[in-house]
Amino acid sequence: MFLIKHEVQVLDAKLDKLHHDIMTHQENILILTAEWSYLNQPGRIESLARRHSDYRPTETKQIINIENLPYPKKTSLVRGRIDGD
Amino acid sequence: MVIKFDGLKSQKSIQLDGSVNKAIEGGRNRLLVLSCVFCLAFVAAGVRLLDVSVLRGLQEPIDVVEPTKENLKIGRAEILDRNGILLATSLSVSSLYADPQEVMDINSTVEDLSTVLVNLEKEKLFKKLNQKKRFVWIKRGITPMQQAQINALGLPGLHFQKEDRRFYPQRNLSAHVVGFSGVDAAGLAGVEKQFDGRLRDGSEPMTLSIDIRIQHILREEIKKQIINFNAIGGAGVFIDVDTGEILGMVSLPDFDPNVLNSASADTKFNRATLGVYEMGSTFKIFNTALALEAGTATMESGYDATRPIRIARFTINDFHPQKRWLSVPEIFQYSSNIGSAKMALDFGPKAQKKFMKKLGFLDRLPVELPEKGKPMYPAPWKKISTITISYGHGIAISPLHLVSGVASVINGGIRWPVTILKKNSQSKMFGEQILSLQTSKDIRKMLRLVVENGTGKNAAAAGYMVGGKTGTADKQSPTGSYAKSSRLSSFVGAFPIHKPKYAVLVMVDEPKGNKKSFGYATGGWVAAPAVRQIIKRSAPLLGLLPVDEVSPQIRRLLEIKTPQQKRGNQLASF
Repeated sequence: MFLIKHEVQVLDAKLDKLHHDIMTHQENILILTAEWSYLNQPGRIESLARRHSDYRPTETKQIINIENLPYPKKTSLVRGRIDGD
Repeated sequence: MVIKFDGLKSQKSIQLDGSVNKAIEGGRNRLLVLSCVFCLAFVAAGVRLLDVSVLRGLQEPIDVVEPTKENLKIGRAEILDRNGILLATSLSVSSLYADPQEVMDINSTVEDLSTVLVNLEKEKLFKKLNQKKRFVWIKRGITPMQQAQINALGLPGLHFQKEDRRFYPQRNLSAHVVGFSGVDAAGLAGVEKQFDGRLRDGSEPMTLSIDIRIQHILREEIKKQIINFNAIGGAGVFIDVDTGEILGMVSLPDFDPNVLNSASADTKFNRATLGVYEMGSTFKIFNTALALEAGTATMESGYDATRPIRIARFTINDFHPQKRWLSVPEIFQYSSNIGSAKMALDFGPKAQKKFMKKLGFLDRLPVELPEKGKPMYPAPWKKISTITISYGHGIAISPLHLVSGVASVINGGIRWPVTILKKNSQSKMFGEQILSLQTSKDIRKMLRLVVENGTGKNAAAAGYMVGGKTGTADKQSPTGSYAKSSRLSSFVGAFPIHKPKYAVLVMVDEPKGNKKSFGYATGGWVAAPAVRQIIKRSAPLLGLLPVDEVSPQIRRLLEIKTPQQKRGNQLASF
């Protein structure tokens, strides 16, 4: 009986600690998501991208419908295969 | 009593036999009773023990309640944008307070604190600590670093308290929509105020219809034009015409809701919803729509715009007079006030007022924000009002009103209530058919005409089929007269116009012409280029593919049969 009681006490303490941990973690998650959002402000990302990357916003002329792509010539494909052999 | 030694025994034994024996007997009895009581108590304890440990032990103890997730959540609910980006959250921060009775040396305390808290007002604090209170705030919401430093100072009488504080990670970007809440976590503006109750007890985050990327593009492009044209402010709205969801809404100048103290009243003013303005020529969209719907004009009919209209003490003139007969699409294309006025006189004040009511221009918008401007309109609604309203003067509405009206005119004629909350597939929508599909299609054609060949050329974002209408309204001065120098330049656009999906409004308050615009500060020069940039940048984000603008299928959808079509090229953008 005393053994069980002791076990329960130990478990209880563990539970308390876990709850406390969950609270701390949740608080940390809140802070981190806030910081993540703060760091992801579009304006900030944009200036960073301009400074550190070569990518620029897509221009309209860069987008094309797949139907509008010219078909590759069949003959050249065949020849390519033959050459490969 | 004299007792002899040997007599003692006999005497005693005799006494024992008598009264002593009785006492022993009594003692035994008491002992018996006592042991009985003890026995009973032990039995009772045993039975109870058995009951507790064996009989009840079979079932689980029921008095342990697991704290649920909600119990662990702290503070106000979060506010998210439509893609789940955090717009507002509650963080727990420490606040510093003092018990003046415990503070020993006020001077040194103030001095020491000022080394940690940079912007501390020393005299104020000194006065605070001299009070006879037992609790004064020193600073609310300090950083963990400051807390550690203050702890290290080891000053007596200073204490910390954990508090919830609202944090807006996107800062200025969502300021007017999300609003802000005070230090005691009560919503004071925007969504924070409107949904204060729900945010308070709800642990479910709130999802708005705003897209933070669109919001950023809107803000940046309008800000650019405000700087270019030295304007005093501006506003922009971006909405989905089929659902009424607001994807972006900005009002400039704006403020950072995290540092409210430095925000002036002007920056907190939401020009997009609370401000009401005479919007000018963009109103011709509604005027033409009503004329077509009422049947007083058709796409082929025309009006004489040769001479200005004189009525009462007013003269109605055109910005860019053509001085000839104009067809209905041409009136729209050249933004002719004379033609519009004549069109309006044909259907009359009653029909006009009724239509304005249907569009929602006479009431506050049903949008979920506390800052909603009440439109101003003439009472009584006279003939002269009908004329001025035909080209957007004499009635003042908020920019959000305008864009909501345009959306209902071009989306097939259905008015969806504008909303700031994200809709999902289960959301019920109540739309009202206010125009026929045919009228809506005709208006689309004319909006395209303006961008292709009229006052709105600067809004043409190649590939996205922009249609729209410029508006340049003279602002009324406090004395009631109209000043040419203070204007409100706007452009309302929709794209792709053959199958409208989104509508954008850009409004710039009091722009001044510059060299690049040849001195012009009109909607076509100030707001239209911003709309082009906004559409160009946002369309790829929204998954819209550019189309071939001269493909026959699209041409046919937007074709207008007018005899004088070829004359359109005469007009430069205005």
